Amino acid sequence: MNVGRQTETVRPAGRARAGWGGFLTAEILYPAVAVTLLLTVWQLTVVVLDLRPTFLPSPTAAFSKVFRSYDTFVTHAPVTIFEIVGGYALSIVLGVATAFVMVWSRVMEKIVSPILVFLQTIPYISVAPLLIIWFGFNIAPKIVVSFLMSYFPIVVATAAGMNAVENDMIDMVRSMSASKWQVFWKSRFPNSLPYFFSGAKIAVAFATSGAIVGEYVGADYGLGYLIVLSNSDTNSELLFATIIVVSAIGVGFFWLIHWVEKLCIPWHVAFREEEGRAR
Amino acid sequence: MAETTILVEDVSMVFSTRDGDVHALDKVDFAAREGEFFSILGPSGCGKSTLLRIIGGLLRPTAGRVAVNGSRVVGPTPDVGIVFQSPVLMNWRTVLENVMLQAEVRHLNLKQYRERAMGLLEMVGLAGFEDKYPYQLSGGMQQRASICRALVHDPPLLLMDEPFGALDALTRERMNLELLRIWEASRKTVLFITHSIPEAVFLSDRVAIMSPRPGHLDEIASTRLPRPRTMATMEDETFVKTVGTIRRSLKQEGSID
Amino acid sequence: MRRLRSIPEIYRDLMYPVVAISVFLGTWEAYVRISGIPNYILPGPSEILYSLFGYATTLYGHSLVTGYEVLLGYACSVVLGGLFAVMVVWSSTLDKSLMPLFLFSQTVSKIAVAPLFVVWLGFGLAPKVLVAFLISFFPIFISTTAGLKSAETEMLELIQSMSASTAQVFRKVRIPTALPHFFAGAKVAVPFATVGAIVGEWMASDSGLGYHLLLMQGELDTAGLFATLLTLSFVSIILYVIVMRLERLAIPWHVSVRQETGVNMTW
Ligand SMILES: Nc1ncnc2c1ncn2[C@@H]1O[C@H](COP(=O)(O)OP(=O)(O)O)[C@@H](O)[C@H]1O
Ligand SMILES: [Mg+2]
Repeated sequence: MNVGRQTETVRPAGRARAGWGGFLTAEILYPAVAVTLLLTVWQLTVVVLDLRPTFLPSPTAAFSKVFRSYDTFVTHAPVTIFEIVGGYALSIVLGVATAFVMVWSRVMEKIVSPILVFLQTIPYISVAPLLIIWFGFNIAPKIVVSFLMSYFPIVVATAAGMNAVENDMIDMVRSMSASKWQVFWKSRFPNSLPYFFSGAKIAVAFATSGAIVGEYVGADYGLGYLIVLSNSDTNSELLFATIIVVSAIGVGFFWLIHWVEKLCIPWHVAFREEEGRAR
Repeated sequence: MAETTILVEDVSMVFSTRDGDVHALDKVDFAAREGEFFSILGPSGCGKSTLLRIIGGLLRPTAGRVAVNGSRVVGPTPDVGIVFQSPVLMNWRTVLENVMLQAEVRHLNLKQYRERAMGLLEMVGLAGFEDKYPYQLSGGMQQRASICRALVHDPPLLLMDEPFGALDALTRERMNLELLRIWEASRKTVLFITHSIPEAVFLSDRVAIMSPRPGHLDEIASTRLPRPRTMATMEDETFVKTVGTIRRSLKQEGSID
Repeated sequence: MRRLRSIPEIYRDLMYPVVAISVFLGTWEAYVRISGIPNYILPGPSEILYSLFGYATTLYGHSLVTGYEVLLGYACSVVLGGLFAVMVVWSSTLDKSLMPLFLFSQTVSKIAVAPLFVVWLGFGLAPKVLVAFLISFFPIFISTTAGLKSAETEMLELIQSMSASTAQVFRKVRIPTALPHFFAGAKVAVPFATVGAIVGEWMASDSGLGYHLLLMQGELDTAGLFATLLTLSFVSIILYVIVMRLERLAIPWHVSVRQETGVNMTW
């Protein structure tokens, strides 16, 4: 009998099975090897084929450009970061408020939710040209695009979380003579937090894209502007360096949200220490 | 002379759904005395939970009257603790915080009730687990925590909806004994819902038998078993006979084949 | 009598959004007329509708271009996203070697990379399709992978006890389990593909709705801009509805199809 082996092949790779050593190989060693390999191949291609830097700069050139153009980035990055933070903060506040209103009132749910299904399929970056007409070349249109891009994932995820409370849980709180507000605050709200955070993590990438695209359409500052500029100057080194900076900002925001999540919902499945409880 | 704690008069319940009306309860009529352990026994889907929710004021009946402790039930009943089939513990709260939810929502003195909560947890054998999260507890321990939550504000009436239905047979027997111990110490009125005949007979003073949908209470049987009850009670002749009688009347109603 | 109630109920549910949208459009129109706000800042709905008819042929031509880009990019995402998901779940070697690269690529902002494709691929169709593909690939790939991995252990053990081959395990268990996840990802990916095509057009092009948007902006023809936005949303929504229909055909048994209230549907 080889039942044991069978289950072994069957189980999806997970942290529970891997242990600490397995975790190291799975989560750190493999990605590190893969990424190093990718960068090495890239570097060798550029060197061996002797590619023009305007076509494809080597990774070392691109990374060193980040430091060589330090002053440029110090001017432009804060503008973009400010736009992202503005748009993202708006989405969180208005997104959670919308979800709340939908869950609180049946009438609002009936009005808003069918409209939302269609509104979320609209490619919002395309309103950027309109916003430039309304607000001009300042940061407002970028904040709005950033907001529009990141708003829907937050509303949808948070509303789903507020709705995903068992009926018995609601009844249990109601049986304590709870007010409607207490039912919401004690059960629906905490229950929605894991959903909110998963929406918020998706949304932060959208907020970043929104700000960058807003700058594509019309700006004199910001990393999006820098991308357009280096593109028209065929300055591929600067373009790659900017892509690196934008990506770093995206990753930075993601980890920030992830950290806040860990602080807010330490009780969630994702953060439980493995206690070896058999499934 | 014992007072009446639960008074249910001609309660009927009809749910209107998309696919037509569901007649869940039909003229249910009974009274439970103060301090009594009263069970309702019936097949799945006959309306037991619906009745319990009506008594707890979570649901308004289509017709009929319900009173708890002499006052008519129009909303969530103030003097009640409910235990559901699943523990419904909040996974973002520790065991103690889960128990304290009752005190928080009712705006009771948190400091004072915290001590009471600790006492209750100790009584059910959860001392030392106050700061654990629900996922760190076994099913039986979780249900014990939810019993503490139902008792922490010292309600005169305890409503239990198949509280041990999800537990394995051995744990279930242990929990039955423990429940009797708690009940004997506090002498609350208990309305206990189950679909297990031996469980109902073992625990209760009286057992009401509910017919399949629409639920109706046909027969209320007294168990007449001495207290305190122990494992030995289950081998008692009266116990075996009562279980047999109830099984036969359930069979007559078509609840069991 | 009672049973018939369910039919008007559907209309009653539709009434809510219809009334809300009508009130919104009415207020907008009234505001524009009463305040006398210049129409290059805010045109009324009637004027936008007028412009939509005026530009009808132009917009139709441009939406064919954009629609083609979106469709090609999206189709690539669906095919490759599904395929790579199966590969990654099929072989743990591929999982270990490909997954880190996919995750790494995910940290790179694709919007920021878009201009590069113009440098590499020129001004034609290719860069737009590529951006549309790159942006819409990941949601499909990730949710399908999660779906393929979410088959219950018991179910897998059951089919393996029948001496099933790996292909059979996929056909009979993993793929059916993954379908709802696949469709959830596919629906999320629709606006992504559209976004990709538009951004591609903004980098360099002389046709397509994205190009037309910038044209209208340059001419301060705000009504035309709105009309283009509407057309663009329409393209996106048509694709979304098609995917939704396919989903209903493919997995009629699944909850996401059975419950028709929108909110929980997509995520
Ligand atoms: N909210 C509801 N809407 C419609 N039907 C319900 C609702 N609650 C319960 N029912 C129906 O009423 C009947 C009795 O349910 P319940 O009281 O839960 O039974 P039991 O607890 O005895 O198993 C069942 O047929 C159930 O489907
Ligand atoms: Mg029940």
